[in-house]
Amino acid sequence: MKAVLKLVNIGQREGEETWEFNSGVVTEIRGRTASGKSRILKSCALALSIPIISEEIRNTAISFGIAKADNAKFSPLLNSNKEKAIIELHYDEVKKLVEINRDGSEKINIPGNQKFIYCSMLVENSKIQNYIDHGLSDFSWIVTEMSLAKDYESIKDIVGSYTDLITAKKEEIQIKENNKKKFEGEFKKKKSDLAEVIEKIRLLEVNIEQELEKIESNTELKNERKKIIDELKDRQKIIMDTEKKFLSLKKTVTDLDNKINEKNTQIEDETENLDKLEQKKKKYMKIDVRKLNNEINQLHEENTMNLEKQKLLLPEISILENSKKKYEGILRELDKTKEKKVLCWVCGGKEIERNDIENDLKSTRDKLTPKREKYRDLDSQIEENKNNIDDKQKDKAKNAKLPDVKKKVALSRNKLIKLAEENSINVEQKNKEDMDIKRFTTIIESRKKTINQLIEKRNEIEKQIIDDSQMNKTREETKTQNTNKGAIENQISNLELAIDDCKSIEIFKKEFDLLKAKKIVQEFDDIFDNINFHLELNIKKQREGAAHKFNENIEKIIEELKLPKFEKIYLDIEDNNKLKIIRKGNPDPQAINSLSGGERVIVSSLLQISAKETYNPEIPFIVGDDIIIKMDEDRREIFYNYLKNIAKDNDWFVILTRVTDEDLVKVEI
Amino acid sequence: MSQNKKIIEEIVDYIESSIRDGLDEAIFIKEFRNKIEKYLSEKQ
Repeated sequence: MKAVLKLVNIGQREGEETWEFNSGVVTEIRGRTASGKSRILKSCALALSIPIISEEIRNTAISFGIAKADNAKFSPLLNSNKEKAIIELHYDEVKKLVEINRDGSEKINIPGNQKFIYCSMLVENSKIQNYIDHGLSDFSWIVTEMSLAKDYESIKDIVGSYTDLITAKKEEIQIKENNKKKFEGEFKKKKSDLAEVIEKIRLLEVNIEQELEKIESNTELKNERKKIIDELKDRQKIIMDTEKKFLSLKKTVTDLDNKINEKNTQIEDETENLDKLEQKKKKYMKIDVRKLNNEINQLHEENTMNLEKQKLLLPEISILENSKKKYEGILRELDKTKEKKVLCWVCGGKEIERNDIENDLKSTRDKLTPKREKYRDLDSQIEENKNNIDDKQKDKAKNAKLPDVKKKVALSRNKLIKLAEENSINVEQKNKEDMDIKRFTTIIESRKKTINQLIEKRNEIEKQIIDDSQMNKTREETKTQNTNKGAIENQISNLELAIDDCKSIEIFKKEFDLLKAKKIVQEFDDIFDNINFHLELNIKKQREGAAHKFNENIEKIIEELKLPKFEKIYLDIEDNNKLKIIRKGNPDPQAINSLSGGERVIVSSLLQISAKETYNPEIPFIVGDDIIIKMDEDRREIFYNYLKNIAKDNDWFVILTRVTDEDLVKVEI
Repeated sequence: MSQNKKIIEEIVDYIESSIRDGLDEAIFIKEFRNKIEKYLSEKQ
């Protein structure tokens, strides 16, 4: 495969340049310090990784000089004299085009995969390298960032926001309950204050009466006034009796209203319940248990066959791996002795050419790769079948609940009929009482009107017959008390509104009375608890799965690299995915900071390649910036050979930079 | 995206099966699904 990287105005270089790379080999970009090697790798990485959504990965990309920092004016890859830079990367059938603008915006025609930054960039300040250099063993971030655990965690945050909302509603309900009690207490007190004021006014009017009698005045007017007052008294007595009856009638209607509302709520609740049960019934009736059983049996049989196929594959893979190791051993021997031929004891002591061994090795690898892929495919198939079986078993369990649901449907229907009958009686009675209320209202209004007319007439007469300072004082006091009465009546009216407001609350855009709201909030609380439990389980499962895959790949790489000092390197799932390093001859894990400088580079590189093989294998690129600078000669050779092998085995592009005294040049090694 | 879709289905199915009789959940479920889908589509 060939990759063509076209760059325009990238880094210090103005104008266009084109680089071509071959897959299956390691390509080095060599040159002096500051000759522009790294910007080629960074451009390649940017094209393969953006858009970068994760804040953590973005910070890493900024530290690598790929992404623009928030306080920077423009991208670190854009030439400082130009308005726009372009990166084009073509390989296989992929054609990526990235446009970097001076205003900080970036455009890309095909989205990349942000995991590339963590997994496929071997650089000195990579996050893995930084952790190793600082002796930090907590690598749980690898499995979280790279697996679906991150998604589950984010959903957990969303659930958390709903939990907060429900908690706030709980507090609001409590406040409303407290306020309701408080307002009802105040209401009672104000009612008593009002009764006191009314009594005061009555007494003041009696005083006026007495004072009037003392005043010498026109007898005719006085007689007329007395006549009016007597009539007023009679009429007020009548109206008080009528109002008493009216209030009693109103109370009956309010009680009936409450009963009807209560029944309506019950009917509404029961109707919703019945709808749900009907839906559940329909859903469960559609489930065909016999068909499910057949499908489950078929899936079990398929899995048995898959396991058999895997068993058959294992010896073939083992034979091919042994052959591969044997040929690699002979080639290493030839590298050491610098000979072109070797005596092969396996072939009866014949001399064999180096070319023949290389051809045999290639042919073995070509056979091994499809076998390994087939083995892995069978694994995936088995896992998928198991999930299908689980789903079908769940459906079967639902079908078993059908008789119970049918029974519930019948009960719910009967309950609804009974509730509707009860309510129709209440509604009929209420309608009758409503008619009486209307009749009473008209009578009371008409009588009040007559009383007011009499009062006006009395006041008119009193104006003519009274002229006394004490009388005026009493009148002023009556006026003050009337104002006071009006203020208290206003307060009572406001308290009634406040009490009404405390009777209900809005949840999820619907209004509920406090009692029902309390029930709903409690139910949602329980549901969120259960969802959180469910999410925690999935997060754990995803992390463990990601860690297992990662560990399998590290083990494979250690085996292939044949590192002499290390027995095992792995993420300890039982210990929060901490990195554990076991040296040969010592079963206890070693502290990370006990590694030498060279070992740190090799361990972090192999962790990074494992991350690449585990989490980012679909992008056929590995880029490395000056990674061998800290490695000693032996390790450098082992590591280079390993990179050559994975480039060849996977048909990947492996592109590295190296500081030399040459002008900028590309060399395949 | 198919994996993420599966996560959404799992969670929403779980809530629906957890809702007990008499509780009006429609608006909540819709909001919840929209919020998760929006987050995951932005992440892609």
